Amino acid sequence: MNPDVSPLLRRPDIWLGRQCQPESTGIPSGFASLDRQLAWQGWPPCGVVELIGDGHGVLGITELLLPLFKARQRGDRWQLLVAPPALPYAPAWADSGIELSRLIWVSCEARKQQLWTLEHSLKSGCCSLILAWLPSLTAPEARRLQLAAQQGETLLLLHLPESVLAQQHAVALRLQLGPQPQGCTVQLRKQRGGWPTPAIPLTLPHRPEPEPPRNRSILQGPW
Amino acid sequence: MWLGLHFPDLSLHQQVRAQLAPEQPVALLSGYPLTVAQCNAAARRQGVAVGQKVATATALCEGLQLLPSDPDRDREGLEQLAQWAYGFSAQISLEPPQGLVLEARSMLRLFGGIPLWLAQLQQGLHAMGLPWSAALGPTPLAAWLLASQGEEGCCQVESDKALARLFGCSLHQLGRPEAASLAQMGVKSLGQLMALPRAELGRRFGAELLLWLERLLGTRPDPRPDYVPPQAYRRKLILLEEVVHLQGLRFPLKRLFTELGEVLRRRQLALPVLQVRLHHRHRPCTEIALRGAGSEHRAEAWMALCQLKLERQVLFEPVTEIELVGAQLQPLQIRNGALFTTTAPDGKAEDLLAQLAARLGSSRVRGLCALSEHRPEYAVDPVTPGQGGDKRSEQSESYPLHRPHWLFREPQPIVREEYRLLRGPERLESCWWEAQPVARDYFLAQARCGGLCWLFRSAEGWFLHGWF
Repeated sequence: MNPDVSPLLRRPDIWLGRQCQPESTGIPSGFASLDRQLAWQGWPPCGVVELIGDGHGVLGITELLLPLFKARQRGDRWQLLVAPPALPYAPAWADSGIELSRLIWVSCEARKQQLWTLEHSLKSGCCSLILAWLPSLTAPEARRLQLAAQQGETLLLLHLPESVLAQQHAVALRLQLGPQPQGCTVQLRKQRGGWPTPAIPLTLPHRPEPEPPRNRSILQGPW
Repeated sequence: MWLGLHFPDLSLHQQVRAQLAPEQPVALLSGYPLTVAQCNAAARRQGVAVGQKVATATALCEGLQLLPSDPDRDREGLEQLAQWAYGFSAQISLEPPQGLVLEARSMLRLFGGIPLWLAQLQQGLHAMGLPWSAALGPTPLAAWLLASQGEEGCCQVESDKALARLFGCSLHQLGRPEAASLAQMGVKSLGQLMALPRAELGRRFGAELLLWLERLLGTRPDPRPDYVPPQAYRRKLILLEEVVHLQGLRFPLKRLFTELGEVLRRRQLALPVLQVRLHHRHRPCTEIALRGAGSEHRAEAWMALCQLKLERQVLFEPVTEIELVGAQLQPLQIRNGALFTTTAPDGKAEDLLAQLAARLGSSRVRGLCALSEHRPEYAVDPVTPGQGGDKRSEQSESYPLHRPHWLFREPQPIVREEYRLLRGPERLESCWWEAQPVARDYFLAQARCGGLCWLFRSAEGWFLHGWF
């Protein structure tokens, strides 16, 4: 660093953006590389987390969220699955260590009903975690959901299509999910109290082993 | 000790209660030709009196609102009052058409003395907004007669002076049929009647008068049928003006729910289902069934559920009457709030599910139950929310199978080349004894988008069945 600038950084009255830490710590995501990138050192304790990805591939990344489901298991509160595109297969959820008696499946097709359900459940403060799917979301709606989540101290994980990337939403965290053979890539598009990051690869369980890199020192044909 | 409660012009006031401004003159008509049977204070001020003909009454008072009388409804109204009074006394007898007699002595220990008991009673009476008069007496008959003679809105509390006060009343006021013939003899007040020798009185006017006197004085027992609260809750509110908008139903409904909550709390009962019926002039009535989380007794919980239902309701015709019917009264089980974090959701959390079910329909809010079943389609049982759980046998827990978290109800046909098979096959062959046998080879595969999915190959081809 430029020697003229470095003494400035030691001055107590000059703050760096990185030092602005959120007051409470987050929920560990179970993936160390992801935790390092997140401003809370994990998932935010409450608010809206947008998970952006197209197609049915977003269904295949439930393993990324399972540690969060387990960490947020509090006996007196519900965990809601709102409008998932497929039926939650109860035996698998039970095998993953999720308490089925607290898991509620809400199926509603109309977007208006979905939004009402989300806002009402968030505001009630009776849910510890909500996983939801929405076909679209406008900026005012996102703001309402974020305020409701803060009011009820609830975390909402919201699956959205990639078309919303063009809009700016006032939410706690926005992640873009991408495909990868060993799991998925996660790109932090926006987070409160932190910076956006480039895509980082995450290894999810049960994925194929990566092919070993070819050793360049061995001479190979054709001769 | 007994308390008599008299509600003057009961049927009139019950019809107009809380629906009209108090300055509006109203009269209730009955008989043939139609005459004024009851009228309120505003009408009386303008010269309307009981017994007037309709033409006279309407000529005297401009804008007089006329109501028809309905004896059945009067009885219903009195029973509702008895239901309310049941919170103050266990022993109530009805004095139709507009009186109640409450037994007081056995309640004094619970309420902490006569003044406190009366204070609570008066508070309730004022809240109801009906004109009333009350009196304490040593016998039920004396209490009732004093109350019917009493001034409106005040309670005579000196029980020992009650008889002395009654002695001053004329027999005509007390409603004796013998009053006219006794008056011809110069016997006008009750005191004069008491001074007469009993045996001669009995010979002249029959044993009935003697029995009445003895019951009044308490020398002979006065057994009365006690009021028994009904086994079902039913309450009807007749709207004076037809309600066109659902928003206009909010206030009458709120009053009905408050009343229901009070009755249920007093009797320590709760309702699993409450029917709200909106009656129309021509169409069959609109029925709304409200289901609380478990058994519910709180008025605000019913109101919240009803609000959610009404938002989705379409009104095709104006509403003339609202009726609440709760058929299955159950003993109330108080839900405790949690002081510390507990394992079970508290009442507030249950309320959320009831509200979601009221808005979306109960088939859309489900808990999940895992069953011991080889066929994946039948391994999930959607149950009542909160009742979910793992009902598989222990054997299946010791050999955990790798299963997807999301399952399609209908397997989707796919092009095999777009997926990369990772593990398998796992053969599943079952139910050959049923109409639709299952014979599938399941594979764990990875889609182009990177997600893990669950495929199977059967005689019909390749299908996608779930995502991990």
